[in-house]
Amino acid sequence: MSDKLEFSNNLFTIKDLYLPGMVSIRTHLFDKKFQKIIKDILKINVPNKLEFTFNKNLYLAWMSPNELLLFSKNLNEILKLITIIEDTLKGIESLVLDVSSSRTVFSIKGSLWRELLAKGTPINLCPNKFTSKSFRRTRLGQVSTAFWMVKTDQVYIVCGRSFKEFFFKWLCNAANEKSIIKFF
Amino acid sequence: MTSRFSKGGILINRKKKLSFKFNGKNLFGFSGDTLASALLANNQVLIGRSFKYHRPRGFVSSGVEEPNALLSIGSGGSLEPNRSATTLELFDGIEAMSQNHFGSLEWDIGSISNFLSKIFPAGFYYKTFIKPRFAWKHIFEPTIRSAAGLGKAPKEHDLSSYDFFYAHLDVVIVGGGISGLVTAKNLASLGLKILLVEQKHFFGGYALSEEFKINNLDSSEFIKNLEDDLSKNENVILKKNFSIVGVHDHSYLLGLENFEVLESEDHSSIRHRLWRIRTKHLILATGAIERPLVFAGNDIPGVILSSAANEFYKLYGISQGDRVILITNNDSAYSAVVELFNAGISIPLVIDVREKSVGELPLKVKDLGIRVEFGKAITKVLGKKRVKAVEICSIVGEGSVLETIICDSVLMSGGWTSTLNLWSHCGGKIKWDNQLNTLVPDETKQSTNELGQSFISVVGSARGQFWPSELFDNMEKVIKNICEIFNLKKIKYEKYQIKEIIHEKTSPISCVPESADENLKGKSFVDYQNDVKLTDLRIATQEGFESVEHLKRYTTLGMATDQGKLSNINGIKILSHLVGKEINEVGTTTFRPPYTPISLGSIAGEARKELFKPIRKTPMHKWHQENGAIWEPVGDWQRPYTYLRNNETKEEAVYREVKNTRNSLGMLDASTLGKIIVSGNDAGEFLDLIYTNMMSTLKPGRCRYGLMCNENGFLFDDGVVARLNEKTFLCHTTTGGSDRVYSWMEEWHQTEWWDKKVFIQNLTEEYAQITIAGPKARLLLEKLGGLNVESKKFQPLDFIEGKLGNFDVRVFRISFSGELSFEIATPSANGEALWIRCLELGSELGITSYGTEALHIMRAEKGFIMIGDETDGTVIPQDLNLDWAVSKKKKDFIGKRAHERIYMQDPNRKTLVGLSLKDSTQKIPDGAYALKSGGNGAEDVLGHITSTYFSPSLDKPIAMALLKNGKSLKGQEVDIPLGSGNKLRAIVVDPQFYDIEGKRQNV
Amino acid sequence: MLKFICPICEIETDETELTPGGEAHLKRMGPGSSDQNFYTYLFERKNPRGIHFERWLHSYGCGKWFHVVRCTKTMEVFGTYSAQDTKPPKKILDAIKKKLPNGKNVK
Repeated sequence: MSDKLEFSNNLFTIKDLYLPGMVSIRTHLFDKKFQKIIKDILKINVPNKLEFTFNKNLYLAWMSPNELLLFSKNLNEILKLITIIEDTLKGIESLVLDVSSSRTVFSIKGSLWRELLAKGTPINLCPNKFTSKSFRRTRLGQVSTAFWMVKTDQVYIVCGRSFKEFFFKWLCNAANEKSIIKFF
Repeated sequence: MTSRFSKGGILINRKKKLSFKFNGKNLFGFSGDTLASALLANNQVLIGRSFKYHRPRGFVSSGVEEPNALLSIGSGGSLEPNRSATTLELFDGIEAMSQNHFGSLEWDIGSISNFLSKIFPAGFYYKTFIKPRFAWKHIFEPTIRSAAGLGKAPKEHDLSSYDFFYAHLDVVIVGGGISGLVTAKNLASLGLKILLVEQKHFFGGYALSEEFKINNLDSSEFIKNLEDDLSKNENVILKKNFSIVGVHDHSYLLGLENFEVLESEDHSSIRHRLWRIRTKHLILATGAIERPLVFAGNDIPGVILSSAANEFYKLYGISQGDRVILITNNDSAYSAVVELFNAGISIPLVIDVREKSVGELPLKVKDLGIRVEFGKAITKVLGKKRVKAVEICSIVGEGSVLETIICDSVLMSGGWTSTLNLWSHCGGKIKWDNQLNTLVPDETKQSTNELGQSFISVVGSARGQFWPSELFDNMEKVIKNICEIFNLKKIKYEKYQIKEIIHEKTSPISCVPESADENLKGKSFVDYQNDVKLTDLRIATQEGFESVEHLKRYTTLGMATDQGKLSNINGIKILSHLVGKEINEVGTTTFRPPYTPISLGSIAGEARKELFKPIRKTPMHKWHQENGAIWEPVGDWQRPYTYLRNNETKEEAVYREVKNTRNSLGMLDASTLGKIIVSGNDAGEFLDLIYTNMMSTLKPGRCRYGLMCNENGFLFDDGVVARLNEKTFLCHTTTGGSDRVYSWMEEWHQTEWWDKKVFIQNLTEEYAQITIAGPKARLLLEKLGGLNVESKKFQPLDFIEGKLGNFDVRVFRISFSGELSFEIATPSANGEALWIRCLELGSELGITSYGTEALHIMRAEKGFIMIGDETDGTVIPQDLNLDWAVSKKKKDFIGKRAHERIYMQDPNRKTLVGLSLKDSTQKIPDGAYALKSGGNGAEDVLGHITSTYFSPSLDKPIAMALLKNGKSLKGQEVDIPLGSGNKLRAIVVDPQFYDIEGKRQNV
Repeated sequence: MLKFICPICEIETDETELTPGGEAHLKRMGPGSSDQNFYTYLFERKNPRGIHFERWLHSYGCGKWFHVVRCTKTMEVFGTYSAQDTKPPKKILDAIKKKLPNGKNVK
């Protein structure tokens, strides 16, 4: 596997969360039976559209009306959960897949993260629009991504594994201390 | 001469001296200067040469409308040509060069065309270079190309940095003049997110130089207070050096923020930032631009707009000369005279083209003892590189000289034009107002947003109301309107106290004298930057170019980098006079973005060099990099083309890889292959519609090669499908096709067959995939251990899952090389480790890694097709002898109906054949035509070469081609023309060259 | 630069997050259809100056297709709706009628 990527300056620390765990759960999210199963196993509610829910290190995010992404920094936690979820969902039309190797997750720490992301995405990142509950799939520059706030001064960003190094360079460039606007 | 007064200049800080260079000369200015004011302080009036005639030119204006003062700034990798000196804030170390002259600026050899100007009339290019044809290419064009054009394009890579910013706002106010600031102030308390931008490096606009009292304060002080106030408000973002250059659909604005003054020496800070803005409402406080008057010699350096002269004086302490005269058609220009007179400048004469004016300002000028002549005009300005004197005449008549007055500068004013470009970028209309003598926004035809609602308001002098007391006439209405739009409580609007100035109307006259002779008209410039004269407009209309759009294109009026900010209205007025129509009948040309030029760097943003385009890397990328890989871009991926060892050439390396794989063992990084999961009760049925062949009958544990066509019946992707279990299929696609095929399946599922119960997931990046190929492939798998790969147990097109050594894998027995071959998939995270393990264990077996070229050669030796080589978007599977993979049983699949079209069944369609050459030293060129043997003409073309290689396994060249009725040509000879006029002779053969019985892979 | 509300995400999306998919509400002509019908299905597309029914894909977002009704002249958007709606919702048709009482191109 390629090297662990890290960058920091006075404003931002950008880190590749090395080998995180991710599961894609495809089913009809509005199904009450499904919602109960998720609540029972994960102790988390199925999130509303464009949002995520969480329990400690476990995040559950809305990808589309029939897809959730379950994420943990801890790959082993995820690997254990996959079989449980898959087995419990047997009777429900669904597809549960380990996608831990498909994607990578970067953490960006720094209170000005909105400034950094606004260099690449056309979505509205104003605090009243992109809130602590928000999970958005959009582009950053030319790369397809999804991101959410884990703390007021920290975001996690998911991108395809093969784009990892390119995207890391993009992030570092956008983190340029000399190009901060203080718009938000 | 121009110079700097020892005192004054609101914007400059005399304690902070800045040095800069102009044409190699070391000069000094002050912090707060523009490059223009600093040059004028150094008596640099001559600033460039004109575009067509190389006439000496000086500053006409002090802002973005400047047509003449375009300079090249910087050098090498930071060179920027055609930069307007009037908008560039001075910073230490600017290197500026004048443009468009041969030899020096002072003695331009090119200006010979001054004498020839009569032979450069309107439509010159269209008329002159039609015949003879060769002359255009060899004489006219090279001469004109070297003579024309402004600055030179930079030759080196741009060193500066650029970026984007996406902003969402409630209100954007364009223009930081007094109207913009007052609007912002009134809206600031509403809690709306507001961006106010000013294109110059200071706020206040003309209210800073044309002082008046507002609420008993000097306008300059009032502005300062407003600026301080607003900068403390967290809802308002104030930006200087920021231009909104375009208003686009759905209230999308493009803004350019300029940081040239702040750019760090190592270029790590941003030079330009392109803002991409969505706003709910847009307020134009864009002000107005003073128009020149058109008279002979109005382009001689020293002739300048009166407002510009005033601004240079008030803001930067610049004097235009010792003896200054004014020619005007309105009252407002008189204020500059008052200011300059009070500063001690001699004003020998004010020429007013009107019959009279009893306005306050003219009276004040008279009271100062300045001579004012009404009903007079300028015959012509005397001087070449500098104004020396003016000849005065009566406004009526042909311009007989009544008097000559010595002076070194002429101020002119032809009235004001409101700046409404942004109003009309997105469809808003403008109209001419005879009363106000300017363009005004047509409120009945506004730009609209996605809701079909108008979203632009205009405030201040941009409405065509230029006197201070009129500035805020509609402010209350605009504020009220915004409160309504945002559903806010109405706020109390406090009126501003501004004393009214009694004034006379502006005269509609723009050219003087009224019946000037041809000689004078030939020196009267309408468009400075493109050298368009009065005579050009007359010629154009005489020749029938009476529409304003035609006139513009025929004469190039308003088509230079300033986009006619000074010239358009005068041009339209002249046209309306020439054709005897009202201005609104003549119409105006359409304003298009950008309002002011923007740099190419800002459009590219950060997407340059290594950030130009995303690059996708496989998990084994680092190993490839360290082991001699030469890269081949495939889609966004980087794949090893071949691995160079020692001093090998590329060819040698590729041949070695092929031979090694065929003779013992090779391994390929196949991770880039698309891998799509289709799962659900209807997965088989769904895939039957997507693929041409039957997938629902595939048994779990088995693989099948499948083809995909579009609705035209054309083949667009292929790959092996594995059935993982009863309801789940894994579909492999080509490297370049993974995203396309995934989207394709989603599209059909969502928009046509949403009743099919399937889920689709693109798992391309989840798995690393390694191809192990060659006679010793099974030995390697056995060494890795853990799986039974015996040939009886593990047959071609089987796959098994389990642990290979310590690795979780899925192994497919599929072959694209014709050798015994296994494809091993493992989660990407383990890809590199498995790759290295295979190499370690394979070393005793003589393993080699091979790249895409060896892959291509081996598949061509076997006659396997490659999407993109054998297909080009017009090829159906049947053309490639793949009928066997097109189901005849299925009722429907995408492309089936198209295959039934008569044309698709034509026996003369091009079909795939192999070509063989007798001469093994030759190679058939890729993409070449194949002709009937002995044929020469287009009618003899049989088809073209789709793939061609030298086959190291057969030691001879091989090729595939698509030829008309190819099957019937077997055994015949065809000619392949080479560029040189020679031909190769080839024999049509079966497209399988190597191991036709398939013995090698079935062991 | 257009923007639409993705009816699935119910949020404003920028043109650069979307992929255009051409005319909406085409009826697929499969095996057994006449040559003329198949030709029309494959090649004949409306390109009106006015009301247009289109398909768009929220490609950088939820990955779902949706329908848009847009005036190609003024860029006014009359609404967006699900890709599985085979006809435009009445609400949208009413809005168009209100705007263009003698409306052309209205399906």
